[in-house]
Amino acid sequence: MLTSCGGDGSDNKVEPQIDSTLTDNQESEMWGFDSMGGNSYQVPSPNELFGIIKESKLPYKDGLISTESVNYTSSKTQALNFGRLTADIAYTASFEKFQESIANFDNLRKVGDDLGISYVFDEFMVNRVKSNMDNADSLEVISTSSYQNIIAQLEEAEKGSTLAIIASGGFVESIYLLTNMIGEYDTKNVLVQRLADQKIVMENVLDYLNLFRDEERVLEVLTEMQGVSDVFLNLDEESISESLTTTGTKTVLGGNQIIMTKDEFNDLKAATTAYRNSFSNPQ
Amino acid sequence: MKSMNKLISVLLFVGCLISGNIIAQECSNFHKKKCYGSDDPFMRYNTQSKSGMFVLGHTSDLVFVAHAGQDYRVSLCQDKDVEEPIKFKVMDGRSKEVLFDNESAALDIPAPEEGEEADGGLPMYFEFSCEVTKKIIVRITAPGPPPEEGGKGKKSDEPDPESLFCVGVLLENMPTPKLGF
Repeated sequence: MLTSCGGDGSDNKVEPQIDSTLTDNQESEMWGFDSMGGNSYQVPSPNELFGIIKESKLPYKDGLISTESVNYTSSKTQALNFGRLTADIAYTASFEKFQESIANFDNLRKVGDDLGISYVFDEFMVNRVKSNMDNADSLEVISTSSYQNIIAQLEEAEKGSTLAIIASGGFVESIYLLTNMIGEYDTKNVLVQRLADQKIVMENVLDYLNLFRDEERVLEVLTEMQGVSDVFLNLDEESISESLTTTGTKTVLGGNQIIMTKDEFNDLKAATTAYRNSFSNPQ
Repeated sequence: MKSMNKLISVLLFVGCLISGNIIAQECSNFHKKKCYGSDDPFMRYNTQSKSGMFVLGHTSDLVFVAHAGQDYRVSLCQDKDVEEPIKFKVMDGRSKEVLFDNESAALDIPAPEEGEEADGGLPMYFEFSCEVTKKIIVRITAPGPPPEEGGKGKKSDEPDPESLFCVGVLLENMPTPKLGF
């Protein structure tokens, strides 16, 4: 219905465009996966990304996140920071950092209150988080299930545009953390490829936001995030395997691999850090 | 009398809207309650899973991101009171190549032998491994004739609430198992 920014992989588009090959649902429809438009663009949770990153055994990096409580006045910055905090909790939980996780869970509740979505934190969830935060095995599980509950409740309450901004904040923070964890560009670092792969997620984030671009705050996020999206959408791709192969009962999907150069890595790191700092520490 | 009729019409319209919204809300976690996931204990729930409210004949897309080095399972479920099964295709989000079509896949299932009861259903899940990170479209088509243009499926012409039903898409993933030693 809306945008498919990556095209066929051979051309790189900076501006999201209407994708006429998706089902032609109009905004007046209420059936399908999204009450606004019928189609739905999903963004992987920060927990999913950090769960995969954890396999690379990269060490935790101090000083990347803050646990300071900040007052955010606009609904846009509240939603962006709600997303930022979900990514921060996913990051600290994946490294079993108890104090940071608890502090940011409290900050998340506060921003949730300001955003008018305090109902997503039911008593059961809060008690479960508080009583299990010192259990290394369950910290990551609780972080993931809390995120699931929050998203499910916001979907139920049809907070579509707020969810799109929350997903954007979580995505930007995940990229900020990942680029800073990598530190210096190295072609041998498997996380550079993981980072480049986030181009696909960036496309879905833009598609998701575009569903609600009639809202001023959503349009502002789209504009503000352009520094980050420009770098991602201009990354080259190369075909490395068949799009579909079947061996016995196993289906393997291949296709294009996304390539990131040193300059692109540095540009992305700078753009993401600048945007992240602009909404997490508003002057 | 006219004003009474008008009031009844307004109440009926509001009633339809409310019932639609209630069904929409009831559908929001449908996949968690009704979809059957993988038996593999390593498979984990993926937060890109989603449910939606469908009207007969309606088609809608769920677009999700599948990461490289992961195995995925896409499982579908629908309200039990809808007799015909739903059709679904899994497509490459960029090339739009159809990777799986449950109608075509059903043809590969051997026909029941004499004396055996015919299933009559379509496969309701698809499993795959991802070598590269990909955008995947799950296109769902609810059974029945397509809604008429400008007709069913629009808020301006509410269908019978009984023709509305929930469809869930449960996504699960796990790291692709490494083969050999």
